[in-house]
Amino acid sequence: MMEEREIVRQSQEGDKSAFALLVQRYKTKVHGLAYSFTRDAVLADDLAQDIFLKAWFGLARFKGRSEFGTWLYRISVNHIKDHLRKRTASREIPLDRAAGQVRAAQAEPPAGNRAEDQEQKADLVRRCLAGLPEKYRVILTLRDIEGLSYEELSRALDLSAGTVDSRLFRARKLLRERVESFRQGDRREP
Amino acid sequence: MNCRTAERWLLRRHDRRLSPDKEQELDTHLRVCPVCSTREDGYRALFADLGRETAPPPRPLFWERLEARIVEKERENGWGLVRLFCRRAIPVSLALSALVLAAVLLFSPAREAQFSSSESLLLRDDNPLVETRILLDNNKLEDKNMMLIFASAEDYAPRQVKLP
Repeated sequence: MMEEREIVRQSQEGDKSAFALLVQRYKTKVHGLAYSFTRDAVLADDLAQDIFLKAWFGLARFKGRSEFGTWLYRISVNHIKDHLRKRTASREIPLDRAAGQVRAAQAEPPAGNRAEDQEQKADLVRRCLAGLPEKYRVILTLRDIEGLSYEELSRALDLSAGTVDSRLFRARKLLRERVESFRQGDRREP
Repeated sequence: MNCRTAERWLLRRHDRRLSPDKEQELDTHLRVCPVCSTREDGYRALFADLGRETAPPPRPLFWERLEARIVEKERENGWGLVRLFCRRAIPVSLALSALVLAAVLLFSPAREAQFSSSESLLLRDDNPLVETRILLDNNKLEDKNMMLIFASAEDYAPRQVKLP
């Protein structure tokens, strides 16, 4: 199997078949990242396409100081953040709406289906995550959904290790408080 | 250990970034603190829910669609360069033409002016009619009239045509 560095070098020289290999390697991750933020498969696909398009035309700027994957993550995060900023109105799910949906779910008689119950809980967590401030949502998604390491987070978000640690702590704490607040039926914003 | 530190350490342990001695200390705290113990359960459930996130795969023919977009964009960029060149080339060529024209006007060698004898006399501030006027002035009025008569007679005299 060809070394990634070599594939990147060939791509930088304009070899589209080499770039196709990189796309093949990273498309699921990039698409997954976009999906984590948008919760819309079609939109995530469009965003992933845009990200790879940007990557192709920006390959000349990639100096190989970091891994290609980290560089691609950086492009992805910036592109997705830009996209989310553009749709500011729908960026954060209003807490009242999320609370209403939770109440409706709670009002339903217990389904007795464990998988369904878990899906509802996961849905609540996703809604609360979507309602977090952008910087917390980004770091939580990258770490706890996409599984990036602290070092990768630091490079992808251009943050110091200390900032990654403290921001991640605050993000998780805030998410837990919000989820607990909704589970207890408290509609006030934590 | 206070509860805030315990919470921080809980999360570090989740990330496998807590040393064994601190882990022991944390466990001791969790055994005696129901608040932190509940909190630990809360985080465990939270991470499990976050981990349940399953993204669908990208749509089919991802690369083929991307390649088509790359080709299209490259073509656009090519035309864009041509358009940019044209947009720049027009004012630049106009400016260059103006510069060349100015240079030609400023630095071309001055041609010698070719004047008629009257113009030359005028430029030298000499009146070209002065000499004629002197002659006319010197002649008597009768002579001048005679000269005019002869001149007109010459103009209107019938031409003599030689017949074979």
